[in-house]
Amino acid sequence: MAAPILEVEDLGVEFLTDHGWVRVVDGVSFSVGEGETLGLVGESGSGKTVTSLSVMQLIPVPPGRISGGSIRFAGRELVGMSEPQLEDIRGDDIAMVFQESMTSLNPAFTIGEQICEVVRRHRGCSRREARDRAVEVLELVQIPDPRSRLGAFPHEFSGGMRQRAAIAMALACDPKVLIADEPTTALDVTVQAQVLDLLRSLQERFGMAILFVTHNLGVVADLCDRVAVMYAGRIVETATVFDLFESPQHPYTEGLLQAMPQLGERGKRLAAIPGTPPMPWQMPTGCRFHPRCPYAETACTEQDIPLRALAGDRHVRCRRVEELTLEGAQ
Amino acid sequence: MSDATASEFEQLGASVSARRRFLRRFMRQRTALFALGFLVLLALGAVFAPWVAPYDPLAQNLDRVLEAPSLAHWFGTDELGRDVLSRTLFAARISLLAAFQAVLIALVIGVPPGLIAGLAGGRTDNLIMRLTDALMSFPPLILAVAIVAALGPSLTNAMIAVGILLSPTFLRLMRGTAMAVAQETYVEAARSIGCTQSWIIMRHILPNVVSPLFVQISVFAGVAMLAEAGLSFLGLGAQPPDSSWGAMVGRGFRYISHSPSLIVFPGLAIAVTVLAFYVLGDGLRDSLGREIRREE
Amino acid sequence: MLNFILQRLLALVPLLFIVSLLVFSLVLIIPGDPAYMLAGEDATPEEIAAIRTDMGLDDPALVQYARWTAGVLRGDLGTSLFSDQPVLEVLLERLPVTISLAAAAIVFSLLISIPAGVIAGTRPGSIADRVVTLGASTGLAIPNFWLGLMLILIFAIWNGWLPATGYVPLSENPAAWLRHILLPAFTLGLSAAAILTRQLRGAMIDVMNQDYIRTARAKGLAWRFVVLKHALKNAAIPMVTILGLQANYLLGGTVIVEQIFGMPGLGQLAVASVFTRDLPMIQGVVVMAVFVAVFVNLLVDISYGWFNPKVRPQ
Ligand SMILES: Nc1ncnc2c1ncn2[C@@H]1O[C@H](COP(=O)(O)OP(=O)(O)O)[C@@H](O)[C@H]1O
Ligand SMILES: [Mg+2]
Repeated sequence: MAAPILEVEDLGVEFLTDHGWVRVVDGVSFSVGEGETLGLVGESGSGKTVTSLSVMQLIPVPPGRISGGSIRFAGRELVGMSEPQLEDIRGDDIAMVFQESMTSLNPAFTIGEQICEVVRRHRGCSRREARDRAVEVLELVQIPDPRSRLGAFPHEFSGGMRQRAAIAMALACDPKVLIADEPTTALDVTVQAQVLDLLRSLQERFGMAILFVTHNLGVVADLCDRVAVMYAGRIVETATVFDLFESPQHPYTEGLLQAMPQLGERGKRLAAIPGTPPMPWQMPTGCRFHPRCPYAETACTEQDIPLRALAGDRHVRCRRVEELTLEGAQ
Repeated sequence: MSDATASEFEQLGASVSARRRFLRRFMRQRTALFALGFLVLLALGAVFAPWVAPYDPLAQNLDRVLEAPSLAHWFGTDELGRDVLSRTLFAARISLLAAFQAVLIALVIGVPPGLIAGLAGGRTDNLIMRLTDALMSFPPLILAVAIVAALGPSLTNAMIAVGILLSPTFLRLMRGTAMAVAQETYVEAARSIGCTQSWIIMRHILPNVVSPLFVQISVFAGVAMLAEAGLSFLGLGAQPPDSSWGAMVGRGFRYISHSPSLIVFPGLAIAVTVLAFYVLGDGLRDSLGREIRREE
Repeated sequence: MLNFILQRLLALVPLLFIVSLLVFSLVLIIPGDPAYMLAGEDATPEEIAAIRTDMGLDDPALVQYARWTAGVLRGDLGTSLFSDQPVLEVLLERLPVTISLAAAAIVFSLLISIPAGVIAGTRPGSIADRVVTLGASTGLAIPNFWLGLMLILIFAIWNGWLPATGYVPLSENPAAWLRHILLPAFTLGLSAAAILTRQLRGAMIDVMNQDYIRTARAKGLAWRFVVLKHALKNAAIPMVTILGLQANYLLGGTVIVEQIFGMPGLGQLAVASVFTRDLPMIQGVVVMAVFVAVFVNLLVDISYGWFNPKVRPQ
């Protein structure tokens, strides 16, 4: 693995809700190497967005707070860093693309203005230079006739175009880390594939590290080098894409793999994981997955399961990892 | 047929429990309850003014004119030596009554056409809404002055003018609810089994609109009181010997540098009472719950 | 753009038609006989009848309406029953007073409501928010004539800092204009400020929770910058609509404020005309006021496109 550019260690995030302070992200650790693509995978509500926003230090406070842990970018600690310093990093060194392109672009400003603004903020360049840069990045994300599109408003773009523009905006200052939070979830399948291709080619060309957040394991296989699987606010397994697909070590990962439509055998019924994830204010004791786990034993319900290191730089949070042989994808 | 009855029951049950929830939420709004308490006390004070007031509000005492507040006359005396506190208490009757008169007129003018527009739709609706838009394009107080000019200055005429000005909001509220309800399947079902319009109105629209209507009534009682005060201040509302708070301020205007208390107390009475109506309205609105508020 | 304006103007035609009907019908509901008033106390019935015929009061209502509308379209609003001057002339003389009062009140209400609404709306639930919210409710509850009198009492009578009454045209002496307009504009603008503040606070709370605010922050833009640029422009959209409505209320409010501060504007004219039962003058004031209100709303409609590109005409 290349030298880590982004390291998250034992991250805890809490929100103040009707149930008091609830911890929605609990002891999450992972790292992304320079030029590496890490997939962060889990069902909706598992804390992926909260984790990504923590890296940006954009958790809404209140109601949220980072209750512990450390986030380091190129060795610099982001937790507790002063706001002006963080602002210098956001959009310049670490950029983010959000899930809903419809709502994440400001409807009252042109696409050009929204791209220029970030360039001018970090490059301190003139209006004209910023416009040139905006045209350049719009070209990069394959928006036809970019110069004339600078004056367009978000509602004049299609969903796929908006997401491309959002990617262009994120790339405008050549970030070293790109966080993409389900960038294709809101798009049609064909457009989804195009945007993924685009991300892959941009990554090959510019070599930035990507934290790619998704609930779809199928997407991960195409794009990522390594994967971290999240469940109920915790990492339950990390491995290279190849290892994870070939021999998942956590029952939850196995469940996700079986639920993947593309890879299921013909005629075999898709096995969605039964049950639903727990609410963050009523986490099960012991292994948080045990109520839904086909392999759960009484002992699984009793005490917290630590994340254990396995051979080949893999980690898994299951006390039966030695006994179980789980089914991978072909 | 049985389908219609079943969903009708559901609907009735839903609106009954919605109202109960509304009441429960309202009981938790402390400032709104406080405002309601104040308004009730004020109404009692107005009703029992002859017993509560220290003096006859019309009794002149030319030896003691334009006095500052004192132990004998808490709010001072006016240019004819009348006790301002007693006059303020008696004026509360006129001010409160006038406000409710205006709101009542607004309801009478606004509710039926709103229902008709919402239920009939099409051309009728279009015509009614155009009229409403035209009415709302007038600067309100200027229209009120013009109406009073045509009808002649009197409190009733002033309140007719204010009622006309307030009616479009009620009209829109009723129309919106009627339109929403008319599209519900249970109303279509009711129609298809031959239920009459008035049955539909009674059974389905009114229960839905009661709570938002109360919010609006409370706020408009405040607005109407302000409008009445303004018109009476100008001499276009309450006529002597009757006196409302606005009229008291209007007459006190002449003695502003000598006896500010003539203006201060009735003005404060207006401000506090109107604020109470607003706070009550805000509290009612907050108690509506999301499901109803969205329909507004 | 020109197309857009033309379209709006065209849409106004039915509205203005209904308005003209309503204004004209004031004549029909009036109980007294204008001819009687004009002729004076001891006119003979023959004299009154002659005046009636002269004024066209014996014609059918429809004919009278047509005549009146035709006059209005030609700019002829009739003659004052009180002073024999052409109504339009009087109105145009007084219009600048009312316009400058209303405009100053709008400026004043924006100067208060924008900072107050932004501060409250970006920190909902804070002490600052509660102070602003309570202040706005109070501002709505205070009768403007009372506020005006209190201001006169404090700033003119007790301290003598500002003049209590009168008006000086802006073109004549800007400093004196400002001194004369300050108290009336504050009086007139306070309730608009309160309403705009409440509106902006609500819109701001809404907008600050939008995803694009987070996006803007993720670009490294400072919070203050994001609030003042990205949030405010979006929050201004509903506020512009309210401002249009408020323009009507402000014009109405001039009736009282001009009376208190002795300003020779349309509002004062309206009240004076009620007491002299000068119906053509009242009709003229109403027509002029509606005209101004409609014009202001047209301006608001046009500016709306700047804030909200989605409704911008192509
Ligand atoms: N602003 C917030 N207030 C309270 N709870 C929140 C907030 N944002 C997220 N959460 C909670 O945090 C948990 C994780 O959410 P999220 O990170 O959005 O999940 P994911 O992105 O994996 O779908 C959820 O249970 C969600 O309810
Ligand atoms: Mg998410």
